[in-house]
Amino acid sequence: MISIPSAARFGRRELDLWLAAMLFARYVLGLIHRAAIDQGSETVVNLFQFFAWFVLAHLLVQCGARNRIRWRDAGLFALCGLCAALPGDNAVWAACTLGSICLSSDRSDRFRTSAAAMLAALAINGLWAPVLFKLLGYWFLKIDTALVAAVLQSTGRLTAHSGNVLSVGANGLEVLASCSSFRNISMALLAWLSFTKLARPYWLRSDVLVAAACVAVTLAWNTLRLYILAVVSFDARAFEYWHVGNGGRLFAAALAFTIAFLSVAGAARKAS
Amino acid sequence: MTERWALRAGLAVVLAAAISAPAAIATWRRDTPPVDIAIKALLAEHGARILRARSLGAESEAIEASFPACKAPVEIFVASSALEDRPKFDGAQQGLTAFVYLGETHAHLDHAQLWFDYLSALGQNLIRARPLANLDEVVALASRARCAAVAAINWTPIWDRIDAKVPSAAP
Repeated sequence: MISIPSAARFGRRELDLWLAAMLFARYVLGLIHRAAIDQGSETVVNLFQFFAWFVLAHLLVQCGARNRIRWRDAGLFALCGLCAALPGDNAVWAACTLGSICLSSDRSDRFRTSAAAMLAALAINGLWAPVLFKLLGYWFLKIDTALVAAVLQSTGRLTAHSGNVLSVGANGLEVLASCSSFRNISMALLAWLSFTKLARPYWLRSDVLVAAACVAVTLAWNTLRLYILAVVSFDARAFEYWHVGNGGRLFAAALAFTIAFLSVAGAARKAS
Repeated sequence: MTERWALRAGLAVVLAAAISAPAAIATWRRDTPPVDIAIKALLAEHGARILRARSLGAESEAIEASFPACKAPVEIFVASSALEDRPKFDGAQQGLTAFVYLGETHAHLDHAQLWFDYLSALGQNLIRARPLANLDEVVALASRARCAAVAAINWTPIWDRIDAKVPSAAP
């Protein structure tokens, strides 16, 4: 290991905080740019992402301050900076992936490894999960559709279903990527990880059960929403209400609250 | 102590560059038109006449166009590459002749190939000043007879405006 003696007082923690500041600034720039172009609203989604960034900073502040900076750390940081300065919209997530590798190089510090996990989760949520969905999306949608079809069948409302298409009476409902539970599961797991790492920098075996509960709850809420959309598909106004109106926002809020409740309950468990 | 502050100054420069460089590039990016407008512009450029345009459901449209030198009209069908439109692709196999994605024409829809092309485009977009757009769109072409005029169309501008001039959007 080669240290940089003259910069020894400039500890590893300060370098990591600079890294986090750079990545967060790039992230906010991307949000502003997309808002200016798309004029879309993803506020609910971004709240959990902002929370994850806060938890990242919270963890880094608690890292060891006097760890020496190695040439590998400085090199990875430089690579991260280069990646974050790239013009692409996904550059920040590629930089977060590199940043996670940079932070995970110090396994002696639990706070630093937890911070690495947070950066990795942000990168997965922002880039790698959508890429995976691009590959497997149609099969995920078939699972979503099958769950909704089962509920419709149990209530006697299902006429037919095939692939990602449901038929309720004379109306058809096509389940598209934006309605897939996969996207919500990705965000739910990010929220779960954020709450857990905010409470403690170590893992418990029961964390897996809490994560599984978050996934199950997300599937349940999404299935219920799709069920309602299928049932009201004959009424254009009601469909719009539950799809993109206040009904849809109600479901988003209910899901966010449920995930937060489960995550906090799970994070409150301490090691015996 | 001087080295410490010099290091911090250097990091501040890196931070400023990470913010300002992408912002500067973003301000002079040109907008890429939506797929349907780009297609209609390309058809107009190649002398095609749009017979009808019909909606196939959420965000999906089929355009039927005739070319002067072609025996049969061509149906241009735009769908999501995320595969939720797979039933439309499967149902339209009869008479379906080609798929176009990122400017490349394929005889068959290979999902794995599409995904790798998508990954490649994402990688390119990290360094491109003008990123490839409409990455979620696939163009399908169907006709009862071969048409040389259609085969000669360069569909690249739908995803990358740099390589060809796209006239103003056709009505």
